[in-house]
Amino acid sequence: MSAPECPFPGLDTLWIQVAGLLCNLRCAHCFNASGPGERGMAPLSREEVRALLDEAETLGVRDVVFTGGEPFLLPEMADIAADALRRFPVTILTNGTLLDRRTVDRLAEAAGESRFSLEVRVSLDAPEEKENDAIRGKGCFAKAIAGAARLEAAGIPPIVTAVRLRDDGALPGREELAAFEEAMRAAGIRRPRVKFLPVFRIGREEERGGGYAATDRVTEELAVLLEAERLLCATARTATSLGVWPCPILVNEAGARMGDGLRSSFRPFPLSHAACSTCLRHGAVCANFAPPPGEG
Amino acid sequence: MARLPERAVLFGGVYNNHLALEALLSEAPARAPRIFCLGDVGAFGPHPDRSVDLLREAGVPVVQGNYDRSVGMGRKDCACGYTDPRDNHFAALSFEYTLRNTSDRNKEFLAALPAEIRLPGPRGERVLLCHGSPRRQNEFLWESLSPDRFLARLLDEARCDVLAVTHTGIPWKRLLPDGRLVVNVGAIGRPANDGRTEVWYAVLDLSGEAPDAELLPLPYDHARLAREMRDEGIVEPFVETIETGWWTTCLEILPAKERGRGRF
Repeated sequence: MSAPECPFPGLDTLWIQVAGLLCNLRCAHCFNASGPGERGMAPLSREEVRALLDEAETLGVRDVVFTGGEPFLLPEMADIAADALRRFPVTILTNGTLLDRRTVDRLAEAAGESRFSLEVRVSLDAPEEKENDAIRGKGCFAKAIAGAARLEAAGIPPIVTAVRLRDDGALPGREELAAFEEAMRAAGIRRPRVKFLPVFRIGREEERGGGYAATDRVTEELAVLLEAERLLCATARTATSLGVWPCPILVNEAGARMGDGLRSSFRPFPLSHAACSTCLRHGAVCANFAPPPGEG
Repeated sequence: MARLPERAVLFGGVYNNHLALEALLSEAPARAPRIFCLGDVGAFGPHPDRSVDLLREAGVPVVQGNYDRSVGMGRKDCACGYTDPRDNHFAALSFEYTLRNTSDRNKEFLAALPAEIRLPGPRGERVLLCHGSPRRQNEFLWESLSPDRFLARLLDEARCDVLAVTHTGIPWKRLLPDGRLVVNVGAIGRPANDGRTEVWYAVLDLSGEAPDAELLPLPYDHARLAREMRDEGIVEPFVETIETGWWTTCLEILPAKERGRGRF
């Protein structure tokens, strides 16, 4: 049976897997199984990123997102972000544990000089130490929230990004949101911003919480009903040292690689992976702000 | 359709603010011979029929916004797309209020509005007026998320030289290096999160070498609007914004730059 396709009208958001799968943490739910010493996908150099930015500008890309792995493991990351901010709005996804004063000051300087927004998304999976660190590792809560507070103090309002492990939906209740906001305020973050993500049952999460069931597939009816054109893969691609993938979730997943270069990936993507069903149910989950439904 | 004159008043995001609309309609003729509304007649404010009636009586051409479509079609929500449960709570209250207080005749009017208006300018410029973006009624075009080449791509795809939108509630303009213009006219329904009680609109100026737009603040009787909102039982965070000029809700949609300029 062939899977329904996600249309591809054009590239708005270029995701760059700048750190490959290299990370200083080994989170129990990591969908791409990043971790220390994971060298299966090499990080990108500043020069390689510059070449991608050149191409993105020619293509009329709207914004650029850096992810990994952990981008701030790269000594050049703040400079790479500054390069990108001269030309694009930038988002960086980080675990927040390496955001020292010097890095944050360099980011703030680049953001201040740019006409574009810099968003930094800091991952926390629970609003308190014990539950968070059980997933992300000992000491992570304290380090990440301190990193987020440093961003705030430097004038970069951080977005805490939380995976909803107890309920795989992307929409939390008011209490759940309030708990995260309270934790952020307690750390001195005056205007807390929180983004929730559903859990993806791939990578390390497959071992921790269980994988997808055979029935977790995108059918033609679902694709129409839930508006497949809203998915991230309708307007985004992820560039890595191993080629281009439809989205940041399916990077390194078998059968999902779309080509060597950006242009070779400009075609509809078949929503054949079980993880596609999570995206479809929750909208363009990895974007900073998911586009609302309807009104084509 | 007839050519646009050299100057035209463009506004959007009325959000039931019939007092600002009244102020605009009275000062517009002194600014330009033509006037256009870019949509979202309803939302936060009181007495929705008053704004729709004012627009109809004045014969202002109106582009359909997501709110107009939702009210006109009697949908279950405003399609504003918030994920913050508090924003959704407030958005649902104002949508229900607007839906309940819009006459059937006005709902039909809103449902029948065009998704865009295209007009030739005085020099044959292709002018496109729409609500969010040319490709999506509820796409936000923020200044800090819009590189020149991205905007140029939107204009290429939409085949236009001048693009005017609203939907975000914060005005800005950009003359592209190739001489084309994008203007977000802001909203006359609520202040632009700048600590001022005035609201904003634009006067498109096609008289010069390059297209331009003037972004203008519009004073109106905001104290009276606040009183009317309270009398109608509209939630206090919406009233506070009218009185202070700072957004108190729907903040999550703001990019970092625009968020950083506000109080909350």
